[in-house]
Amino acid sequence: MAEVLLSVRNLKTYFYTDEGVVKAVDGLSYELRKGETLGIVGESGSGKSVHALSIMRLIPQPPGKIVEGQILFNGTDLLKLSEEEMRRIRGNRIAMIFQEPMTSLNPVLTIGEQIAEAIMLHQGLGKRDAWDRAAEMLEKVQIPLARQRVRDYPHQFSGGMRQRVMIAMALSCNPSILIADEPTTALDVTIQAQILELITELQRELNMAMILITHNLGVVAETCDDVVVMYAGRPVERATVDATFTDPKHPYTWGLLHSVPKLYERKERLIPIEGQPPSLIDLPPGCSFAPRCPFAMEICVKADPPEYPVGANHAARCFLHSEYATEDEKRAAAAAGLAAAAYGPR
Amino acid sequence: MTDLRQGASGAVLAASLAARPEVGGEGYWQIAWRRFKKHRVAIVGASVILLFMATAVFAPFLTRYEFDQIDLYRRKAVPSFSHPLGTDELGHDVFTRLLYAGRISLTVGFTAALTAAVLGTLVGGISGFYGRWLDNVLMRVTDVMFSIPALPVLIVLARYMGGSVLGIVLVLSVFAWMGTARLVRGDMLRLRTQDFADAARALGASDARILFRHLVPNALAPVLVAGTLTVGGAILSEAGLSFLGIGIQPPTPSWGNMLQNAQDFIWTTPWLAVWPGAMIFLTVLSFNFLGDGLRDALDPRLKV
Amino acid sequence: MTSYLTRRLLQMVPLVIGISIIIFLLLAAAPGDPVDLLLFGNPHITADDVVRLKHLYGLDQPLHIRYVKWVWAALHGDLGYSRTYKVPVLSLLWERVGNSLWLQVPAFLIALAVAVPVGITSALRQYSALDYGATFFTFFGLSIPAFWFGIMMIYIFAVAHPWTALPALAWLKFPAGGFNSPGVAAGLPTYVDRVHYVVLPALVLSLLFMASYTRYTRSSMLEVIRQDYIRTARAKGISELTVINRHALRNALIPLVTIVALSIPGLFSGAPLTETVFGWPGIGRLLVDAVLAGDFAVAQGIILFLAGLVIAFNLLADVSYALLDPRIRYD
Repeated sequence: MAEVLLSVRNLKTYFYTDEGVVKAVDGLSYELRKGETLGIVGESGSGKSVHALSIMRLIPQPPGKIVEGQILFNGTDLLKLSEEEMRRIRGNRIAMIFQEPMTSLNPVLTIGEQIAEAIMLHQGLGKRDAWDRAAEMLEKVQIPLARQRVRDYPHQFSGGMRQRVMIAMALSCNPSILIADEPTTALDVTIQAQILELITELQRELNMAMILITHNLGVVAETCDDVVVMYAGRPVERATVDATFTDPKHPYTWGLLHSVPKLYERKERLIPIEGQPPSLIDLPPGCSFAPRCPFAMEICVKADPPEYPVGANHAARCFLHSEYATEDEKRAAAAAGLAAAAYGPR
Repeated sequence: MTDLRQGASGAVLAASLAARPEVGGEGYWQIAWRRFKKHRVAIVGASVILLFMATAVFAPFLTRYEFDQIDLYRRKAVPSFSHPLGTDELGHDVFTRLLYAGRISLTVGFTAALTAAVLGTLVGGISGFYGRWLDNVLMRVTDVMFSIPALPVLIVLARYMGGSVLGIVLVLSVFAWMGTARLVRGDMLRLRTQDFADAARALGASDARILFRHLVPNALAPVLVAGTLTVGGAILSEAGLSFLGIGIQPPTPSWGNMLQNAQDFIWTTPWLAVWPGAMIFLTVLSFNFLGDGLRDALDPRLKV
Repeated sequence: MTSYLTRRLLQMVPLVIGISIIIFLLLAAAPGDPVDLLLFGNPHITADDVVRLKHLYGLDQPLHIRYVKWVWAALHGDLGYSRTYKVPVLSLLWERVGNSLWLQVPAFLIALAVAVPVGITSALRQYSALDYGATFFTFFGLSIPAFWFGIMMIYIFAVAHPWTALPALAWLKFPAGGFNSPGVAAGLPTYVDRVHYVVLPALVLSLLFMASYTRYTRSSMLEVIRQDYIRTARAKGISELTVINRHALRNALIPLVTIVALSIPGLFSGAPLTETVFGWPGIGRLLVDAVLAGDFAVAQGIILFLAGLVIAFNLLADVSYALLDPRIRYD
């Protein structure tokens, strides 16, 4: 197995608002290996994006704060670095692309200026060389007439093209980790596949590790090696991509699998997860998914489930896999898991 | 008879559709009130306004003098027990005049703002609701009114009005409705495409009914905010005009005209200039604080 | 960009027509036309003379004809004749505009020089003590009556100057009003002397603008630093200073330049009060004097001039917006 590049340990990021403390990320742990792709899956508000910004240390503070945990990158804890040291990592060793290509580029600077900026800073190239490299990057992300288009402004590009620019910008310094936060969500369906393909292709070429944040299980199935399913700021299931789709263990994962729309199939089969994700302020005791969980037991509303190992490299935060569940309940759960797996995109 | 019943239930339905969405069992105004209470400066502003309104209303009970009572033997007297803020160059009791001037200034402020709010709501409502050429014409008129250099024109018009209170209110409101009109128009454009307007229309409500029963009430929040700020603006303008000798004419006291002569006596009796200006400042500041709090509470989108 | 500017120019046409009609009506509505006023001062005029004079002045013609004639005359620089000053309005105006500029330009520069840095810092340190202070200051500036503030300044810096005992602060004493010391030699000494007179009124006039520029700078900056592209810039690892200077400021300044350009005519329109308090012989003071004397032709000329400024700065705002924002520049 490849060496561990990034290790997130018990990360907690809270936001202190007038209404109360929002526990956006509340105890997230995982490991990312060299060249590997890790999928972080969950609904909006599950803490996926906040976790990504936490790694970059770009949480607006106040109101946000990383209150606990470690983020070990090549063994050094990013949370202990000075702002100066962190800046040398941002955009250089760890780069990020965002969900909204339409608003993520500065409207008053040319594409070239924006890409060259990072190159000049991290690679110490002069202006001319940096611009050359910017044009090269644009070619790499398959923007036609790249040499001329470096002088264009963002509004002169379409959404898909802007996301290509964002990718070029992120990869311009050969980062070892790319964090892609819903990189295709805002794009047309036809363009989504192209962008995803481009990202994975470049990932292989540059031998990067990637954290892919998405709510789209289809995307995960196609690109990821490992998967973390998040719910209400916590990881509810961690598994390899195969296990996630063939042997899912958490009722929330089953729900997600049931709600994946599939091409060529009739729409009525979609079963949405009932209810709303909880407010992250004043979470009640017990499992945060319990109010929506069709398998909830008495224990689920009383205690917070710890992570139970359910297979090799596979863990689920659910009492169904503990001694609290009766044999009947376990059997019902196993059946539901199989049904969900049959449903999923694989 | 059947028709009548349908009409009534139709109105109920449309009204319930028009109601603001309730969040967690709390109505829109309850949420707004909760937010408003947290806005400390706005509470201070509201308290000061209430205090000044009370002193204006109860002025006769708070002083022994008449506002036009002259005492030529006690001119420009320093503050004392009988004249807590002293007397002016004609021997008026300054404290008394301040109280009565508050009546004029607050009345002018409130009536001008109210008139402007009604005018603005009317223009904005009609403009946003009917759209097309009418909207175009009314918005061009609004642009024109916005572009006219307000204070100089006010100076000329106030002069024509010869210092009558009603005249001042009139000219002030003619130059204060445009902001409200634009806000209401914007809300109308947004609201008229929403379902409840269609529902009301489908139920056979007249245009005027849809506009003033269903749409305008939903646009009241910005009108209230703009109106509050307009009160302060109108008081400031009135004071300015009166200071120049073009607004409220003595012997009717106004905070503005009390300052008119005070400057001449700055070398001898500087305190004459302090109080009227301080009253204008505090009142306008209070209305601005209140307006800010209302905006935060009612419609955070409007934050400048 | 050309299409944008053409569109804006076309939109300006109804505005210009509307404003000119209102300004025309403003004088037409004046109590007593020039002939009536003449009559008032001269008992020897007969009824025949009145008819003849009204015809001579064109006052017997319908309103729209008079409007067209008035526009035609104004376009040729004829703004009428001042009854009290006995000179053409235009020449009176030119003489006073220069005086006003002596006040407006420093006031504008002071306002901008304070507001922009304060507004930016306030936005970057939102909810800090400085931010609260700046916010309170804007409320203060927007609420205080300029004429009262002026009188208070006169009292403190011209009358009382409580620091007289401190020799180090002796220079902190300014004239209570006026434009020049008596008997100053013409030319350069006049200007040097005038600086002394400019300080207080410029400060007073600038306060309102300082407050509103601060508010706009702050909100514009707050708006920009919340944008996604600022997050992108930070994710690149560039320093906070570069993020602010290169990425945030350029975007925040675009709406600010527009608002500032649109506010400049307001410096003139708001001047009547400040100029009156300080006895400054600018167009604001001229307006007040003319109105009090019933010389409405002068008032109309001044208002026309101010409206012209509004139109001109509207255009300037559009042009600067088009030049600063690449989304319009390359359209």
